[in-house]
Amino acid sequence: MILNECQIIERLTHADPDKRLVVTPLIRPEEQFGPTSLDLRLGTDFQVMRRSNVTHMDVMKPTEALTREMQGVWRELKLPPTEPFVLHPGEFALASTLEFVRIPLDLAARLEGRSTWGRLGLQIHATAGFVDPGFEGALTFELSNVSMVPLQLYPGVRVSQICFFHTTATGLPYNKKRFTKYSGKTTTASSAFFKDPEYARIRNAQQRGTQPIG
Amino acid sequence: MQRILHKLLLWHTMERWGRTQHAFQQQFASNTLAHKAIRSDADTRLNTIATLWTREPALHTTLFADKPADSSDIHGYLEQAVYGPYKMIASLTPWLQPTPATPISPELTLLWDDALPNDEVLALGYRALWPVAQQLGASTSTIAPLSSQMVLEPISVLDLDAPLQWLGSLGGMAARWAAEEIEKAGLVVLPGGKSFLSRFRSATQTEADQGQRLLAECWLLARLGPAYYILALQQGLLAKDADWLTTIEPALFHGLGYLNILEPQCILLHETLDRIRPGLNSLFKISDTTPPMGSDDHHLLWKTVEAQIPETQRFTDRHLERAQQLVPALLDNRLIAARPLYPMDAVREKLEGIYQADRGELTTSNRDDVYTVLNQTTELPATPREIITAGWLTTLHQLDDQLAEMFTTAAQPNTPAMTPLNLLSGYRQQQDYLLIKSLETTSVHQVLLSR
Repeated sequence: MILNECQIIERLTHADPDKRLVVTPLIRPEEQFGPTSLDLRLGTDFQVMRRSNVTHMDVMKPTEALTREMQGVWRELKLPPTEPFVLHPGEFALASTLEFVRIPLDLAARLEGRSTWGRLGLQIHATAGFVDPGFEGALTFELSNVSMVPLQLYPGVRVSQICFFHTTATGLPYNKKRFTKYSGKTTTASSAFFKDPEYARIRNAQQRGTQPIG
Repeated sequence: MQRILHKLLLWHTMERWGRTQHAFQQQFASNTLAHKAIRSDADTRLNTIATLWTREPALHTTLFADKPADSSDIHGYLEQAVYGPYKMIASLTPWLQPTPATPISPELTLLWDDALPNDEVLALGYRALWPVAQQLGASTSTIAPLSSQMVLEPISVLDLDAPLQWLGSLGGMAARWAAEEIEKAGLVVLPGGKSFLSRFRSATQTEADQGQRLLAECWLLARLGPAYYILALQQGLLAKDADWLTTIEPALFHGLGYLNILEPQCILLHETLDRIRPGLNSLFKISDTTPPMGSDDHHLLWKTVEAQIPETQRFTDRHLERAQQLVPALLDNRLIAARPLYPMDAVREKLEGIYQADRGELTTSNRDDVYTVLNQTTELPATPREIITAGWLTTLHQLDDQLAEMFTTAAQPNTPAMTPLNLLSGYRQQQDYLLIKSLETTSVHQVLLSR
């Protein structure tokens, strides 16, 4: 069941802190609420990929070396509220919501773009629009401009909307999972794909000289 | 919380430890021989300190004692657990230099804008900030172009991501400001024809300098509130600053009462300080027998400061109340960029009214428009000063729990010496992120509220 505006308010003001949905700040709710959604705003920090001489991400390198390499590839930008981030055609950048979001254990959420921006060619996520119960922090935008003109994006503009679904309470909330990489982040975080445990296993298998099955 | 002061000093020294360790890892990350040697030296010293803190849990039992602190704590505990390690950590910091890749935090400017709204003073702030910002690779668009008169205000590389320490960077600027303004202050004639500066008219240069500094410190307290008192307390004690202990702290504490912003935790800190003062006098080698300023002098001083700073620019009891409202959210690891316009109960009540109307339990004319309820969920932006104050108050609230957890972890068998300290660094880092994000968010909020 998708929550309507009154149900969202009910959860935002729930007397039980464990059931309370947190979305803060709510700056102009009359503009942000839809019948079954709440608009979220663009934050102030961005990460863009530099042009570099790195030919590829060699995931078999040690994690520390990869972390350093990734830091060299991504450039962080922080903008004041009156300065735009310009996303050029075909460009990809990471950003995050201005709002801090905490999803209680019996709700899940989906982050979507707003039609207003979709019509201009802005996509706010590539594949990862689902938000698990127990998530807390700023949600990440995977921004891309599929139009032919550069887009000016000011911090604070409503580029996305979030809707909430009721679920039975999970025993595996996002913030308690053993293998979360982005829980509690309040800033835009680049991918930590190389920290997925599979790579350590593959690396170890390579070092042991394991042959392919069959 | 009998030993709140001791805990604050220990916590800060441990915080310095964590930031120093992180800075060395960042700045000397490569595998060149030079970097390896520096890292190894720093690691050895940091590990020695960690071992001292975590391998002798008995050392810290005094921290959690029920009886009030007294002077015997000074040489027994503070010297060994705080001053020794603090000195050792400080000896490492000259290695750490700002690098061009280190971005200056725009949030620092936000805080200054809030604390120093006066154009003239702000210009001084820019002059102070600019050389450092430029060195750190800031763009001219984030900080206004400045006059050629540069006044360097060093911001430690350790403090770049430490919003609670940022208020300290205002200190040097304020002192210079006070030097420029001191004559103006002298013109403030109070009832009875006395002025604060009349006390220093026939003073020696040293005494006059002390007077200027005192005025500057009070000026900062009036603008920044209890957060500045807590920070100054920490810095004054760790620097073994005799002037601060004998003259400035009593004046600042008087000011908290005078301005009606006396936070209960500041009272606790001051009372603890008073109890251990004789021990500190000997530690700081204070032999001066100059009589301390009396309450009349303090009163005159604060009248002078009050006359200089318009009420709209002072930190008031309203700021303090709002900062206190933010503390529960920060304790709950939430953003504190805004506070609700209405209490949750009131919003729920309005919502219930709508549900009742929909069930036919109310007449239609009594039904609130849904927008009325939506608007009640509006939040108002917190100011940077309120955010930083809430950060300090939260830190004091958490001292007991965080230190106790750290020592419990340290007591576990086979725990590496650095593990408990890294735990503390994790908490501190989480709070820094929330404070920085709150400062950024509130600046956007302010813009979106403007017409």
